[in-house]
Amino acid sequence: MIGLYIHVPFCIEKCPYCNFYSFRANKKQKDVYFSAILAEIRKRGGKKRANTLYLGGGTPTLLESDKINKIIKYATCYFGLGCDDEITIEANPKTLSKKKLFELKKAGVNRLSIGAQSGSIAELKALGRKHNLRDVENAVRIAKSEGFENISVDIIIGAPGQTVETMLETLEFVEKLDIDHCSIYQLKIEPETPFGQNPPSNLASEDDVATIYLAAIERLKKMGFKQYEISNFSKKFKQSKHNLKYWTREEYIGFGPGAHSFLDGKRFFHEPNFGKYISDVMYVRHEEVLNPNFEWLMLGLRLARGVGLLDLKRKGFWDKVFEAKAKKLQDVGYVKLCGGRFCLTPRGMLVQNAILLNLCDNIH
Amino acid sequence: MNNKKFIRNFCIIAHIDHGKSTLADRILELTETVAKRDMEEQLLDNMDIERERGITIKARAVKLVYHAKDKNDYEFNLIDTPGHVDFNYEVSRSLAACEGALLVVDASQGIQAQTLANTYLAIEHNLEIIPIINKIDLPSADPQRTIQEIEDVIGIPAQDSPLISAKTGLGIDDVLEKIVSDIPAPSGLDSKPLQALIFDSIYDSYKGVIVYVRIKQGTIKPGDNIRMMATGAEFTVVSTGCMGATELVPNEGLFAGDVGFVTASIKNIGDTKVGDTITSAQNPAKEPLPGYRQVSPMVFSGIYPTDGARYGDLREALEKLQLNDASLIFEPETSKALGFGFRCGFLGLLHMEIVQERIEREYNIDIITTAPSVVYKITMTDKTVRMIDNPTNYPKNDKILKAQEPIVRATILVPTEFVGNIMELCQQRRGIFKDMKYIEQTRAELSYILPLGEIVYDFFDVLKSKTKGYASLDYEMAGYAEAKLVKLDIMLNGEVVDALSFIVHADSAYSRGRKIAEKLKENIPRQLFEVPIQAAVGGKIIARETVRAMRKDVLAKCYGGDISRKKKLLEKQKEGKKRMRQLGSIEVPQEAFMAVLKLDE
Repeated sequence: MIGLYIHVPFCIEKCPYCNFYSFRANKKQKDVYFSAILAEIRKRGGKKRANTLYLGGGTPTLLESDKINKIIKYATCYFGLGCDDEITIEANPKTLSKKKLFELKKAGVNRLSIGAQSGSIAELKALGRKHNLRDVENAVRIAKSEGFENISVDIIIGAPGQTVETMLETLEFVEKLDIDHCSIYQLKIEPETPFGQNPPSNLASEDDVATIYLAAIERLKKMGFKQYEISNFSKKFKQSKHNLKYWTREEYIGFGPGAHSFLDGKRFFHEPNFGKYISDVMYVRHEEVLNPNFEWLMLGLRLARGVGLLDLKRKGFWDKVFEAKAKKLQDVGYVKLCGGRFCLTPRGMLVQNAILLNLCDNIH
Repeated sequence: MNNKKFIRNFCIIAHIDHGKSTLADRILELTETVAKRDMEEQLLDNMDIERERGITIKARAVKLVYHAKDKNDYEFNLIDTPGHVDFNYEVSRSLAACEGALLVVDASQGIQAQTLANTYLAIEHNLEIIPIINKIDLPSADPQRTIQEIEDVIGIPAQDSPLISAKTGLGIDDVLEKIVSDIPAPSGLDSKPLQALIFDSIYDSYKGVIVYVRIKQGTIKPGDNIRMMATGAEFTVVSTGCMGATELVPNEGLFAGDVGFVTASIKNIGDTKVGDTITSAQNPAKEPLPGYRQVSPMVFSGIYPTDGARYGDLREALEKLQLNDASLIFEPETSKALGFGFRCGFLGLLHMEIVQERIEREYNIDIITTAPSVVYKITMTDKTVRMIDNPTNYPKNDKILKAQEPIVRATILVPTEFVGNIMELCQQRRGIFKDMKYIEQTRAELSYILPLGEIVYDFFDVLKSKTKGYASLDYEMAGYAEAKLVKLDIMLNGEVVDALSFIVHADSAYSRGRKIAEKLKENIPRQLFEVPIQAAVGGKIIARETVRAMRKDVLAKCYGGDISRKKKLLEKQKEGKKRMRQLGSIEVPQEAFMAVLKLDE
């Protein structure tokens, strides 16, 4: 079973830290885009079955509900997506009116990923976000009343001015929302963004971010969230099935400009270019494939459950040298070796890149 | 036969930047030795480094013809001398090839330490000295004061010194006439057994070694069998000739009084030692010319390619440099930290820097060098004496009966306002005060005995910074003195890094160790594990710093399944690792090794 990702590159306004492919679109552009997406689904469909669909962006909720409906219908038609399968949409809290939520639910969306970003008004402002805390509360409340049972919020770690205290405030806010999923993403300053050009003076240092991250994990645990990936936490096993595919090397197809695919052992992507995409929806660029075993390790170690020791052995990682390195990493508290599995501790997750490079000489 | 009456052999001595090479250029121009169009600034300084740094590294000689006011044509042999204390011996041999010296003094700066040292050297060689006051076109020039200074300090008459500007060409005529009138013609008989002084040699891939000589007596012609008196090597002369400004001009032979070149299919520059005497193999002179000595390197340092694969290239570069520089020595050495490289010996710090720079520039090899070391003389408990030029080989303290270090007699000329700073510096560097003289109201000459090891460690830079660049330094070797020496080891993660060890006086071990530890901490990036940095003397830790473990190194999100982003990041990090030296599990950037060479005061 594969995953389907639809990239919706529209935003009302670009956030100063964002470097994802998005722009402000007019009606005409949305229409053209919509036809192109349908065409691509039609052309790529009919071969494999999908059990997740993820509408990401951008701000996918800017797309009219009937269009979203049609896209889901197409996915059902061409990829055998079932009504019990996970269908997620990313949403800006300001776009989630009662009407919109009703329509989304009706269209088949059953999971919401809301860009709450923070529970601190000062941080929201510093991040250039236009919504307030009330918008998030309302969106969650109405969504529940419309029957959404799988709701997630995104939280940013490393926001300007953020401290352990403000993070705990944010998590308190999340607790009150009473939802079952939460993602904590580190703010990365990308050079080509306004933040990259003109970094806020009160950005948390790397050390501070690490401290905040560990404090957040601690707190989320107390709130009943179980960490299942470096940035992802869930209750009641409501993990994101779609996102899990990325980390377990299952197949997925990305539709729309800037979207990435992993299919039949190949990785390819659409260039983040609207014009190019609509002129040829089948045009993709292939990427050099990493050593599949290394890729497996790199992605597997993002998961809290890590990788199996037997798999490590079978894939040829586990030898005397690896074992000695693993032991050393365990001694300083970066990894755990137990229950036949090899996984990173929260501290280890913070330095995952360095651990991978320490363990593996050959990444190709 | 030459007509000795019309020959003038002379050199130019001056402090760095006082205009020696510019004056040489003007003389070449005015004697029309070089057509104006061939004129390249500072023709005698052939190497890029020489032109850039304004110093002369190798002696050069050029023959020129001057049509004097007395209507006679004179043959001038101008021998350019290296202008740095590292090359003192070479300077003395160049001087020995002359009858006179032009002493160039900058009219705005007056006499400097180097001027003094070289002038005394010229006086020792009985050279006729013609003081020349240069840069009189500068607004700050004070020719009269400079003349007075020369008379007071050096003690030679200077009232009728030519006042010139080598830059504009002003007064150069006077200089040329002075050379004719004041500098004696060479003496020496053609009929006596050959004595030719070697004052330089260069390697040419077609001709072999080209030896620059001054014939003191006798003659030398192609076909003659010659012998090097110090090395005993014998050769048959292939060609002789004189040095044109842009090329060598062969002739039928060299006679007493001549300056010229000899080739004899000599493959090894080591056979033609500067200062050695060439004589005839059939009819040898009874004695060599005085003054020859074997020059031995004073400063040693390890040179390693940053890219281990270029070890062979580095060897080739050193071999090529050695062809022209018999004072450079090297042998392979291995460092645990830096891999395969060479232990190299140099005449001094400048010589070392020049060699390093030439390797990087002319041969395009990136190198890491270890801290310069002097040669220690260690008497072991079993009474044997060992010369140690590499800290790695320094014996354990309980095996040492007596440790001695090389010392120098240093002369520092400095404006009186900075005397205090200099005294402080010399004291810090374990100097023994010998003497202080006021050479004029505002300037003093300080004499100190200083350990050479303290001079090779950052001394010039500090000297300059403490005197706003006004102080000048000259030194000569003064033997060995006993000292309380210890070997300072630097340990990373508990392991000694051989390339960072050095020998230091026991009293400064603590502060030096602490500074190096701090410097390393700044230069070693945080990594997965914390890195303890320790400085130790004889197993005792005297300083400790820690590079804390990194806290965060992770890609936040594999957005939309974009795995390549993460891959690219990892590849970049992997590349970065390659530029580091792997010491056990620790990655040390190349810069860290260099950073410890320059510690701020």
